[in-house]
Amino acid sequence: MPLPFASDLSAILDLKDFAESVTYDGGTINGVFDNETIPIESGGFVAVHQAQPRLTCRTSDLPSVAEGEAMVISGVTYAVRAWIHDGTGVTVIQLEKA
Amino acid sequence: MPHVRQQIRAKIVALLASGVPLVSSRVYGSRVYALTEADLPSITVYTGRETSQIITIGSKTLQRTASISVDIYARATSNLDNDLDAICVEVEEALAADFKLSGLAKSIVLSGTDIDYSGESEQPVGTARLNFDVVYNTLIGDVETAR
Repeated sequence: MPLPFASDLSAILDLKDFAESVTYDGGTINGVFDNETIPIESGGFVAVHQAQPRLTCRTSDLPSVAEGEAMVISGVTYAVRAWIHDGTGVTVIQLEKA
Repeated sequence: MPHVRQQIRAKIVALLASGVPLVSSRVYGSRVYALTEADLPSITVYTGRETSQIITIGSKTLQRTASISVDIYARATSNLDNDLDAICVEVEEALAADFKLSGLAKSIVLSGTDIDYSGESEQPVGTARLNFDVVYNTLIGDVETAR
């Protein structure tokens, strides 16, 4: 029996549940925004604690995603730096705070 | 009096706090806790390995070479390498201006530099580690006074 992944994704990316609206490419898309603070090892003796902004969204909402594109999330502008398509229709975007 | 090594570390921290305006006095000695965004750019100073040998048998004088690491941390969306190098300029020149660390040492000489970056967070973070060799002398039985 196929897993109900499409309906699960719809629920996850519903604005009433976990997702929020993201301004992108002249329109809006829905995505789950994470901004966890993590320890960054940059070669020094101690780590640097910094936020790690990531957006999880539908791959189909990003047909021509490109480095440097802007995304505005909760009034904060980020630049797209990298992304990972997981092959099941979900993409995780690595963001850089402008 | 504290160990001369401690006096040297404190002297270096003081020289960098006053002589590196790009980090606005954010200079930490032997820091073990993580830095935050508000701490950047900043400098941490550590004493690492030290070697020593007798140079005067009769008076039992030790010549010691302490390895001092000066870690420079910065973050920026662009030109992070240039920002780190600009701070390196101020660090190297501040220490060169007091080559004998006000009499605590015979010399302080840069032995190498390592630069690393990370792009995993909301802005790229980079570190330049400047390794200095500090040569200083003490008596075997008196390590609180520089000779």
